[in-house]
Amino acid sequence: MMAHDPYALMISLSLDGLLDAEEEEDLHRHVQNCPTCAGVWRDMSTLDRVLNSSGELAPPPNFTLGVMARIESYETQRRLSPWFALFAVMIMLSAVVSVGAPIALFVSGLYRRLFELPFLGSWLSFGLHMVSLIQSSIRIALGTVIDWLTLLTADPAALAVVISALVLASTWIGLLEGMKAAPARSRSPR
Amino acid sequence: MCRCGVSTDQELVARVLDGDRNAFAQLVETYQRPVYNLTYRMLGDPREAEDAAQEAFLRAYKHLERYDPSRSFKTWLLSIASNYCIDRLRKRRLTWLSIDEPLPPHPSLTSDAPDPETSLIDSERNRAVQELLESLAPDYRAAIVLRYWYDMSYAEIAEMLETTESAIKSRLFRARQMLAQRVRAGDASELFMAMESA
Repeated sequence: MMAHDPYALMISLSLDGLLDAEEEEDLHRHVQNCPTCAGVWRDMSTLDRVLNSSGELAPPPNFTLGVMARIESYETQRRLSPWFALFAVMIMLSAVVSVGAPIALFVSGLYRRLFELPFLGSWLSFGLHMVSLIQSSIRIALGTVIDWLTLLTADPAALAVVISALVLASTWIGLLEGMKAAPARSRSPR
Repeated sequence: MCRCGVSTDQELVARVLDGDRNAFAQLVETYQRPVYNLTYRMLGDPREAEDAAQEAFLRAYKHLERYDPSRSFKTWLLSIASNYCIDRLRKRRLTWLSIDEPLPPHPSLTSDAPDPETSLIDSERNRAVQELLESLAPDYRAAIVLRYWYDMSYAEIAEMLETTESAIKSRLFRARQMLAQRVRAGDASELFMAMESA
């Protein structure tokens, strides 16, 4: 097969009109004496004729309208994209300012000046006082819970007392509820 | 303007660059058929071909400032379309599209023509041609389509597909060899029937 490959390539080039007269003559001489290459020549020539005779296919109607609609959509996006970019930058800037400004004020100590302002200063003081009140309340509540949990885990007797108290309390509640329900049942008609 | 009063491609391109979108519509009208034919021959599915052809025009519009007016606009446009189709075919391979299920034929290949007998022969021939094309790798298919449907030289095909002339020579040879083997194996019996009837 390898010996035929140069001639197969020459057949391909011949179909494209790229062989000179001498090469064409050499190819034709070989093809006349070689059944394998004659077969290749026949098959490639048939293909060549069929492919050359295949016409162009037409696009569907309204093809141009479809292209122009895509272009319109692209142009709209292109027009709007700077505004979207500006919007994104504004969002980022506002995020940076809202986080960075309080930090900067605190670090630089400028926040003290804010408290000296006539109206804003008193509101800020009140707000800060409320925040510290809530903070200390939460701290006390959490501290009590943590103290209790620490006591219960450290002392098994205390844990037993608490569990017993919970059992007694739930029993007592159950009994009370039962007593409330009993008169109602006795009054109901049989 | 040329002698016949119709704008040349270069003039239309210049108008598009100046913001005249109607000029681009004229270019689409002029080249829709060759671009669509190329995408159909490459992809083998009418809907996909239409989408690819429209995408090729959109890409041409987006990158119009890169167009060199000393070159043929048609060649530049077909270059965009063929490279886009090659990329699309490579991606399609990854989506596990079964080659056992043939794609639907082009409407014009099955439509009623004035002469039903001629239409049938043409339809059969085109179907066989399309089946043969679809057996080729994207690079080989592009070379064959550009050579046969657009009568392009090796140098032009090489420039369009961003490769060398010797690579195109090799691709066309290998493609023809593969197609000839398929014809010999009887994969294109309709093709021969159509040829004999013609």
